Amino acid sequence: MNTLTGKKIIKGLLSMPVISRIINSTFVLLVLLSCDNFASDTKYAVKDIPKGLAEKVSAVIRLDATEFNVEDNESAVLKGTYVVTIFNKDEKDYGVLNLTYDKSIKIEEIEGYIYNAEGEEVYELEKSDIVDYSSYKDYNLYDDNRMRIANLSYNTYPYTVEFNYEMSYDGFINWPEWFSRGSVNPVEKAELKVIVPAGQQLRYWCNRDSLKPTITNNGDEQEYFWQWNNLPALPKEATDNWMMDLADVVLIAPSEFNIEGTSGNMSSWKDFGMWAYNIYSGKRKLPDDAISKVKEISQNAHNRNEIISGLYKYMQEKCRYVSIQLGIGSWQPFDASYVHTKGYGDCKALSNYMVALLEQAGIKSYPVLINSGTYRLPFIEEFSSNQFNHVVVCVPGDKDTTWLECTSSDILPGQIGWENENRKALMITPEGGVVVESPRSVPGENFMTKSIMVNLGVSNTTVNVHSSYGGNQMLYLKGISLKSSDDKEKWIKSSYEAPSVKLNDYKFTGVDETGKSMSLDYSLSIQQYASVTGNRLFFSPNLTERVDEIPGKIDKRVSPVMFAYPFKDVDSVYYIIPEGFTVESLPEETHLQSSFAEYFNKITADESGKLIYTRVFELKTYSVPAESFEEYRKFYSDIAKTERKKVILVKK
Amino acid sequence: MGEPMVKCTRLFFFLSAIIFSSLSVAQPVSPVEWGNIPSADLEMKSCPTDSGADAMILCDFGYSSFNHELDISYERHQRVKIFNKQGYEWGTYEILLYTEDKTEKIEDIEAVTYVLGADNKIEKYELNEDDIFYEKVSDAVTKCKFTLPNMQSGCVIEVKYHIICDNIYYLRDWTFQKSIPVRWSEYIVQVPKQIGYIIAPLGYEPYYINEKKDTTQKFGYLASELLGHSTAPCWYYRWVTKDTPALKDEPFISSMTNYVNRLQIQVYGINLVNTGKMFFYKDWQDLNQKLVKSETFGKCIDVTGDVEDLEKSITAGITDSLEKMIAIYNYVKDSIVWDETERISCSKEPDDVIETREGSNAEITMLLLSLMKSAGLTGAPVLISTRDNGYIQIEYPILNQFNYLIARVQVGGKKYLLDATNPLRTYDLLPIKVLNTTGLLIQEKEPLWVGIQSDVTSSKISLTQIKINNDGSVQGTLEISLKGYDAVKFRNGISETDTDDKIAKDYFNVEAAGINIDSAVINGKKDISETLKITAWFTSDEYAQVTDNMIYINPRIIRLKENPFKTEIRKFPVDYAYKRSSTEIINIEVPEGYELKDAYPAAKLNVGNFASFTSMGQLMSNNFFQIITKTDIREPIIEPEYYNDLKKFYSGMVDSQAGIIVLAKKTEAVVPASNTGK
Repeated sequence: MNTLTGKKIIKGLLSMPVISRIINSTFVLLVLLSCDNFASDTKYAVKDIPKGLAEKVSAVIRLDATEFNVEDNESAVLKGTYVVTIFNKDEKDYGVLNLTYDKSIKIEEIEGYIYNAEGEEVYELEKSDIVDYSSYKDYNLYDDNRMRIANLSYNTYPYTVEFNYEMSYDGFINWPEWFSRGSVNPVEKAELKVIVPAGQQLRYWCNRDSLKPTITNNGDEQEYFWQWNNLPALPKEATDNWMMDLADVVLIAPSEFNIEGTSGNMSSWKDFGMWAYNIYSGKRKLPDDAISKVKEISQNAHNRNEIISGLYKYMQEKCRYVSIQLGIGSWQPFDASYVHTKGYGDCKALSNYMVALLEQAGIKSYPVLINSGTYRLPFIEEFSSNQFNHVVVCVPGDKDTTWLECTSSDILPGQIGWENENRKALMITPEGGVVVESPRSVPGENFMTKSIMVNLGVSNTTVNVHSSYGGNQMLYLKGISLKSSDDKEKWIKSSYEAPSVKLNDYKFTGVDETGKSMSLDYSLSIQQYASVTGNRLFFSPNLTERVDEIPGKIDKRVSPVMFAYPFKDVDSVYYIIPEGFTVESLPEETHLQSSFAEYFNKITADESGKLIYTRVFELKTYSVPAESFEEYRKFYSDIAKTERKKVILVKK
Repeated sequence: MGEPMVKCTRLFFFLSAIIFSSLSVAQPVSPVEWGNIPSADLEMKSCPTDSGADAMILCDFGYSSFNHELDISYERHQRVKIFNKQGYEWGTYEILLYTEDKTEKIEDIEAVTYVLGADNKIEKYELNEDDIFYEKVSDAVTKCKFTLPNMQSGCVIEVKYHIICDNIYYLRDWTFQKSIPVRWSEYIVQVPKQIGYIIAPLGYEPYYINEKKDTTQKFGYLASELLGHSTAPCWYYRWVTKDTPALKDEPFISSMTNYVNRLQIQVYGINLVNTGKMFFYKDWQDLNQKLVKSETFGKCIDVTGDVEDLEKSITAGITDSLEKMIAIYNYVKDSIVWDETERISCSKEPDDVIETREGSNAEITMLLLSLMKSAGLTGAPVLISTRDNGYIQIEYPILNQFNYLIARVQVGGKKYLLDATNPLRTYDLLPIKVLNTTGLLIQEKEPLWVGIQSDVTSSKISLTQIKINNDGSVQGTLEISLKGYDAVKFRNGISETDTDDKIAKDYFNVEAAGINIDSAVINGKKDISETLKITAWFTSDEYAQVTDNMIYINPRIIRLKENPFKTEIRKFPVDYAYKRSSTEIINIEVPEGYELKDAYPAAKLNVGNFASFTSMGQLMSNNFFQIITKTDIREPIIEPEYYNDLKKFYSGMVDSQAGIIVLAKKTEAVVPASNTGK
């Protein structure tokens, strides 16, 4: 940060003696007036924070105000004010303002100030405190988006930062999202004001029915206003929840909109999909060699499914995923012929190319806009707006519908992975948008089955593992199998909690003919797997799978617990125990059942003295509701408890 | 704080391979012909020397020289074999260009993908000019980015481009070693002798060719004007590495930049018609003299009126020199905020730093020295290359090798290294990032190389009390005192609004082990003059394993469960940064009616004199058992030849800490009713 001006500090220091000198004079009334004037010169003094709001917190949001003024179908102005009092280093980052912009959003102005605890301005943001970056991420070859970051910090806590900024929109699809709070810190005041031309209805959605705006008509404008005051701090553990569940949320979206020479309507999913359809249309023309390739693949196939998988495989081999975010708000795909000649494209371009190949073979398919990611954000079906970040392909059939994830180069048709499954999405058809649901998977599909032979020794233990993985667990293992040999070895060893592990050999077997499972076999030796005390040996029978983390305690959970996918893990471990030892104690069998999962473990000795350990863990659902959080916690805690128990052997 | 003269053990020279000759040299060409891909390379399925490699550089060729306008011309030609999809990332190029004042421009970019198609026909796909993107990264830097078309597993890609640079500062460095194997890497530099460059070779792998030749070059009008003649004597350098293995990352390493084979190039002087003879830094002595006189360096130590006033207020009433030094250090660390930038020179004067109470590490160091000087203490700044910045090449007086500045102050014959950028560090603790590096002390007459080590051992003392009840439930206390870097780390990591209970729970992290922390108290959380002590009271119904007449329990609630060293071999030293010591005492109260069954296993392990671990248990009375464990890491750096011993050492520690105590119900004492006959 640059040199402080210091001017205001000096003024502040000198004020006191001046006042006390005047008090002795006869101009008492004048003094009082000048005191008032002096007071109005300060802003956001710490003492002005409402009582109780600033206790045991690192920051207080003094004001978070947004005004969004819509002028017409393509222009709008966003004015933001954001004032935070920072009490210690933990929340220093509130002094950083990060605004992203692109071709259609321009940052008109950024102002910033620092006030000391008394509320006196001690610094004004300078140009040199603002940096401009390309918001490029490693995975993007190119994108239009940039960000501007303004940074304010001060040397004495507490202090207050204020940012005022203005951004103008020239063409839009997305309007700002509004959260009454973005963190667990208390909020003194939050405001959202949306202004639309008179006669227009603002389309908005609130996550609570109680959130009603005040609507005022001001001649040729109509104003929607929401306000919040004195939102108390939340306990830190609350951050395990979704902000969406902790905050009041207001979403706003345009009805008619223009962007980069196209115009659309978002007031229904059908219309929004229609606009997207038009953006994609005319992009599916294939070059001649692609057409003959489609013919060749179709002729060699025996049925429709074989054509789909043949073309999908062709696309996977020919193309790779490269992210290039250009064109209409990152919406328009590259031509199918471009993808064909370059051999790469982003999710839109690859999906569009896939649709073109299928169309050439006479099979109807559609691009689907989806919100991809391990965590499924709630899809607000009653509020048509841009809730998507990814594109996949759906091939509807009479009996079975096939989904295609075109950015992955080595999965089978129908496998769209946990980042796309079990959620609502928008299919783009010639008739417009249609809300569809992506497929769900069941525990049995996502299996992991291990069969392990252990030759337990007092010092050296050898282990032979045969394991097979299905569904999403197979996709995960596939990801591991593609890593470097160092990483693969590290991953295998990481399952073992032991002083030292030496991997002898390992083999990943590729996906089998059914396309639904793959296997991993390996053998390793462990030093001191069992620990020795006198005549006894102690060891954990659950060799590779164990629960050693328990979800944190939380007073009031308001969000459901989400899982990537349901699964079923089955481990069978056979132990040959060392010569001269006999079993002194075996852990008891455990069977745990809950609404969302089932767990079972058991260890028995057979007549030859061999021990057989079985462990089954089945997660049956995609989520656990907030009110069952304690049950969920207890379930994991009970597993951890049983998995700590050791087998005890004693010398004969 | 010790400061032995630095030994040059980590510097690698290949002088022996340098050949002097004065042959004239023809225009160098790439060792592989553009577009002529041997079919063996296209057919190759995996790297013959490293089957796990995703890609391999077949040939990397660079040639830097001066053109007729005396601009630097840099030609690059690279050919890469892509074995599988994971190797595709080698087909995306990002070339950084210094574009402030149009310094560098790139031209003639060509890139082609070669694929072995059906019938062994070679298919060729060329990069289109429209698919090259230019992105402004900052005001000074532009990134040129492109990706090759139609890549497929097994393909070979070939890329060439040309960069023209009008600033002699930016003669490009070269890196021979990559994270994939490199079959051939060659860099040729031809420079007029009137422009002097220092070229420092670094790394562990040997050079296949390392040549330096005398030659001449004919220059055009503009260059001739600057050089003073049209045919100028030049130096010609050529370095080649062959079949270089991939560089792999390992744990406990200060910085991979210390180990990669590369050339670091820096201009040190020019002698042109318009400039005359001009040296940047002839040698370290020269650099020292210039820095001492510099307004942004040596002059910042001069005592101003403000500095003197401040010093008087800090040291008022203190007579002892060491106490004065500590008082000044404490004042600066507590009152001046480090702005988190790392610099070797100042952009603010000490007076400004005092007024704004904020500065870079260099500004804080210079203020510290200025205050010391005002107090009559002798001190000087020390230039440092931090651990992640890599080792200093002592042979080459290149100022840019350094990136950090600390102070050295002498009190009564003893020398103290000081860095006041963190209020949580006492004067005897330097930031970890400067430890085990070499610094250059800049002082009036001549510079001095000093080793930067910490003599302070970071220690952990823990005391655990466990009372075992006869139903197997336990209760007790965990108490840990931290000193040195362990305490700094702990204090740095805690949040100001967290309760002691929460901090202790997070620190011990024993919930999954079945232990409940009921309450906790932390002493010395903020006041660094106090010992940092964490005390927690715990209970558990399920930590011990209980059967009818036995209780089994691992008395080490906090323990090491895995060996951090997992790889079979290690090439590079293990760098702990600082010395560590830990003492652990565990007192166990055995329940009424139970007795200790088996002897608790004792352990004694060591790695030379560098590291040791001892643990033993002892029955102190009928129901009171004690385990004492001591671990010491006595050297901050352990050489790779001890890696196997170190691995075994950790293995033994994990095993020892897994040790379990066996308690058995006492059998009812049977009082013999009568003498049994013998």
